[in-house]
Order: sequence, then C-alpha cells, then structure tokens
Amino acid sequence: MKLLPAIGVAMVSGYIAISYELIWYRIYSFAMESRADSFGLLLSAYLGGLAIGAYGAGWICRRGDIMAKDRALPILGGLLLAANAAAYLAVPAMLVCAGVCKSGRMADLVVIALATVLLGTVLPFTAHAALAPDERAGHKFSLIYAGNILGSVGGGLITGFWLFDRLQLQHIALLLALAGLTVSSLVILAGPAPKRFRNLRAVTLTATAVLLAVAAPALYANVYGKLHYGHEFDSDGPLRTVVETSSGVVVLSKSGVIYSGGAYEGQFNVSPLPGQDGNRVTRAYLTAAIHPRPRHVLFIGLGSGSWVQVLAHDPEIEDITVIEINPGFVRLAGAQPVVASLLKNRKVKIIIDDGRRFLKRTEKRFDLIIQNTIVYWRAHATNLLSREYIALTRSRLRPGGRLYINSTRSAFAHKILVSVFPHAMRYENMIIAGNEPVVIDRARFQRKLLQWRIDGKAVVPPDLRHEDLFNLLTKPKWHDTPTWESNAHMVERTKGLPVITDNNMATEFRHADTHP
Amino acid sequence: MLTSDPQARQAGHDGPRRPLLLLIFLFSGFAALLYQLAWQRALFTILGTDIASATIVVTAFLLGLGLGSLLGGALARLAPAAALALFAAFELALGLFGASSLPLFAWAADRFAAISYAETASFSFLAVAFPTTLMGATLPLLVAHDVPRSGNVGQSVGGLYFANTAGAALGAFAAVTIMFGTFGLSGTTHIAAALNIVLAAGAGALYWHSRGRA
Repeated sequence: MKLLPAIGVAMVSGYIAISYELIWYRIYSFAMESRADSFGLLLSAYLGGLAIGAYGAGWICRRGDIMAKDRALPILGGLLLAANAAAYLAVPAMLVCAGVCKSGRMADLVVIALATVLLGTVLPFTAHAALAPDERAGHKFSLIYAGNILGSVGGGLITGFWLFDRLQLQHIALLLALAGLTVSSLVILAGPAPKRFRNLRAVTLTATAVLLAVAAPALYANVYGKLHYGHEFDSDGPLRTVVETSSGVVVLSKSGVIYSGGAYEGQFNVSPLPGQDGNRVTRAYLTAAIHPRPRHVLFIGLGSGSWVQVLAHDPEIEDITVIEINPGFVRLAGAQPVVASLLKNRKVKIIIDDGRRFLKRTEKRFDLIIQNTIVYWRAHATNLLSREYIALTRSRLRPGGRLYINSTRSAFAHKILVSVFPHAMRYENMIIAGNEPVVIDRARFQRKLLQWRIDGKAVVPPDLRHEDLFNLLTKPKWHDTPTWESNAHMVERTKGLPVITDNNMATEFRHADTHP
Repeated sequence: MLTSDPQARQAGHDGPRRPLLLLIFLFSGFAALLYQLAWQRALFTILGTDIASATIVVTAFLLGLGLGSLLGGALARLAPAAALALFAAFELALGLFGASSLPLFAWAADRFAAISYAETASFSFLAVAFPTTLMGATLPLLVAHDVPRSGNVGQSVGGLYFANTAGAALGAFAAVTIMFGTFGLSGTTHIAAALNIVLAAGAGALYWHSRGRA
C-alpha cells in the first residue's frame, strides 16, 4: 500500500471517529442531564475502545503478515466499513439501554467503548500496510498520524460546528454512515480482485447503503424522547418539540416542561396565581419588592423566556439585555404564545453569547442582574457560580443594584454569595445580593402586582381574592426550610463549606454539596 | 542500531526495556489527558463556553497535535538514533510548561480585553500550540525508536498507540472522578507536570542504557 492512500484512510478514520464522538457526547450528556463528569467519562470509554482496538491490531500483526500487499486495501476498507457500522449502531444500542437497563448510563459507556474498538485498529493496520520496518518508519508514520489528526479537525469543524446547526442528529448519523460506506467501498474496490468479485462487492455495498437508508428512520426515531422517558416512552410518546443546534438540544415535554441537554430549564407560564404557577414565576414579580425602581436589567440566560416576559411588562424598566448561549431557546420561545411577544418587544435585546464573556466585555451597569439559569451540578456551572464570576457581577451593578440569582438550593452557592457580597438574603432558592442592605418592600410588590399587565391582560384579575397570592411572601416554610433567610444566618450556616472558585469547581466535581 | 537479524531484533524487542517504554508512554498519555481536560476548562472559562469558542479551542488542540506529529517525524528522520532522547526532552519541556501553564493562561487572558472570535482563535492556538506540538511529536518519535527494534510496524504502532491511548482513557476517567474534585485544576496540572518530569527521567535512563548496550 502506498503512503498517500494510507494517509487518506487515516484521515477518513479520524473524521469518522471524531464525528461519532460528537454524536455520542450529545446523546450521553443528554442522558446524564449534562452532569459535569459526562464528557470525561465518555472520553474515557471512547479512548478505552480505541486502545483495545490498537492492542488487537498490534497483536494480530505480530502473528502474521495479514496486511500483505494484495490484501491491504480490501482489509482496511472492510475495517472502515465495519467500524462505521458499529459506530452507527451505537446510538440505537444506547436507546435500547435507556429503555430496558436499570443502570443504562454505565451500559452506554460499554456500548461506546465497543463501538470504537474497530476504529482503533485502523491506524496500526494502515501503518503496517504502508510502511517498511526501517529507520524511516517514524517519519512516514508521522504523515499518516497527521492525516488522522487532520481528519479529526475536519470532524470537529464540519460535523460539530456546521452540520449540527443544519441537520437533526438522525440525519447527520445517516449522512456519516453513507459517507463512511462510500469511502470504505472505494477503498475495498481499489484492491485487486477478479472482475466478478468486484461486481459482487459493488452490488453488496449498494444494497447495504439502501438498507441503511431504509432502516435509519426506525433506528434513530424519537432519540431524545426515548432518552428522556426511558422505559416509560411507550406510554408517554414522543416529546412535543425538539430544537437541535450546534449549541445543544432543547426539548419541550408533553407536560410543557423545557429541558436543555436533558436537565430541567423551566416552563412557559407568566401567571403568579396559585394553582397556575408551576414554574413559580412569582419570583420574577418579586423584583418589584427588591429594587425601588429598576431601569436597566440584565438576564443571564433566557430559559423559557417567562421571567423576561414578566419584567418586559414592568413599565418602570427601560431596557432588558438577555444573554443566551443557546439560540435554540429563542427559537422555542418564538413558537409559544405566552412569551412570543417578548421577541418583538423594543425594550428587550437578546444577544447570543456566553454570559460571563459578555459581562467581562460590557461597560454597561445594571440595576438588576437576574440569573435563573443553571443547576449547580451541571457541566460548566462553575463559570456562573465561582467567586471570580460573582465578583464580576458585583462590579457590573449600578448603585443600589441587585444580583438576583437562583442558587438551585446549593449551599456552596449560598456560601459564595455571602462571601462576595456584603449584603444578601435568601427567598426560597433565590438569593438577593447587593452592595447595600437588602430591603424587601412588600407593599410595593402588592401594589405593582395588582397593576401588572402582560400583552394587555391583567396578571391578577380584579375579582380575585389576593390574600393567597400575597401570603406567598409570608409563608414560613419552603421545602422544610425557612422561606426567608438573613445574611447573618447564611454566613453561620455555611461556615466550613468551600468557596467555589474557577480552580476547584466545587459544585461540579465535589459531590458533597448540601441543601439548606 | 538496526540489525538485519530478525531473531536478534525480536529478542532485543522483547527485552525488559520495551514494557518499561510502554509503561512510560502509558503515563505520558495519562498526563496528556489531565492537561487536555484542565486546559480546556481553563480556556473555556477565559474565552467562553459557546459552541464557536469551544470548537476553536478543540481545533487548536488538534492542530497542535498534527503539527507535533510532523515535527516528530521530521526529527525522527534527522536523528533516528536520538528519538528516545528527544522524547525524554519533550516530556521534560511538557512538565515545565505544564507546571506554569495555568498562571500563564491567566496572565495572557488579562491582556485580552475584548475577545472576538479571531482573538479567541489566536489566543487558543498560542496557549496550547507549544505543549500540544510536543505531545503530538511523541508517538512518531517512539515509533521511530521502536520499529527498527521490532521489525514490525503494526506491532510497534499498535503497542505504542495502545499504551498511550489506554493511559489517556485512564487520565480522562481520573480527571473527572478524582483529580478535579480533590486537587482542582492547578493541583491536577501540577501532578501531570510532576509525572512528565519523572517520565522524562525514565525515558532518559532508558536512552542512556540503550546507548551503553550499543
């Protein structure tokens, strides 16, 4: 086998390997609800499979020259074909695990490792077929290895960045499978063989391609629904909406709950009325109590858009900047009548960006910075909870400004907020923090709430008894803890807990966080 | 260095030094993945976790590895007898860079006030180009060292690739299950750096031993 085709085979193998890794990561992290360790665990299984394949290839090469000149291309083509098939079938296998296995997530890793074993054989076999065992082997091997890495770069850019924004996962997988089939067919057919065998190979490969295209819809149908509902999928049926972008997957369940990367994100609701407030959007109206006159508001994260919709209808607020990292949320919100109008609201400016990077760059200062985004144990939660980040938010507040942040009940998060800010208070899972003492004006909250109108409709009907609504702020307990908690009490309670930093990533990798 | 007697080559290849070399390369892969995951985290914190930034960071990593592969191949052609010594030197350089990598990233980040995607790409590439080039060079260098001894390309590449990738798999697992939670990013990179320096010493010793035998 000549060097150039060997580099080509290594390049294709690299492209296929990285492309499937990206697909598997999307599936696995969704199944893991974007847990912080999901990338490392997936990478470990993936590399473990490659290592087993490499070992097997080395072992086979030591026992005989199976890559003799006339057999090298058909064998490599066959390996690429089989590796591609194994990789393609990994997702359906993971879906089966999600439906039947109790510890499906561990089974996913086994599936991924098995699916990469054959890919791991390609580089050693290719090198063995193309290189003489002399002192130039290192140099020539470096070209094959560089080709493999270049293919990986292509996989990251073309599949991860470009295709994920344009096609659904099932179509990307099919495209990859067909591309892999085509390339491996070309490699197989390039090998020497009698004409009738070549024709037979061509017919077999074409039939495989047709079979693949026919089977694909069934194998990859309702991927996220099956992962989300598991063994209850058959009774619950598919998800209501799935939005896939290169930034991730946002889905809307049948019961109206939004999940991003498999983790809870919120619901579409702007009504604070008891019985209707499934997403506890009352906490958005509470902004009326925590700041006397907020004019400039920053949201880190759009989520369902319900909170933004509420504040966009506060007549005292002049402008709202929303930083959302995943454009899928904007697409989803645009299709929901309860929040769709916020996309056309002149006060609201939505910027697709990383929240922390935006804060670093912006020179603007805000009366309210609202963060109702990330569950504390999710991957990269540190970026929005660390001491460095919280200090950054503090520096972007106007005089009298407040950071109003969902701690998702993390005691570590409580600790960091009382460490960075001189004044803080907890209401349920929300922390109100500022440079000045936190004052809760219940009278202003009640007054503004009675006047609040969204899309021309009063959020509190005039004929309703309001006691239940206003009593929400005075109820003593929430989740068996005091509804309200003072700064001093939080300082005392969180003594001895670690301070979350960019370095220690305490909420993501220390599994010792506690609820208050 | 290269003997024409296949039996002698096989005998030399199966000697005690090769398992040691594979073990060194396994831990080299272990350290590399500790770095990769720690540096990616650090760069995502500096540059952002949006898809464009993440793609740029990962691409910079891979391009560095690719360049390193070419560098390793070129060096192996120029000085095939010194491949193991070069590997040892690269491990040492990786260790020294690794020990100071996170403060270096932070220092550089402070000087990037506005971060456009072009700047993100430049920053990522500059931050990781040097160490990933060193990492990428190690496999071709060791292939150059090992193939003449084994007389079998598939066996050498398979064995070395297995060792390095298995180490990488263990590194990825250890990073997210133990290292990050216990030592944080800086502790993890310091452990990887210490490992690199020990591996450099081990590879250096193997080199001097093989020279002595030659």
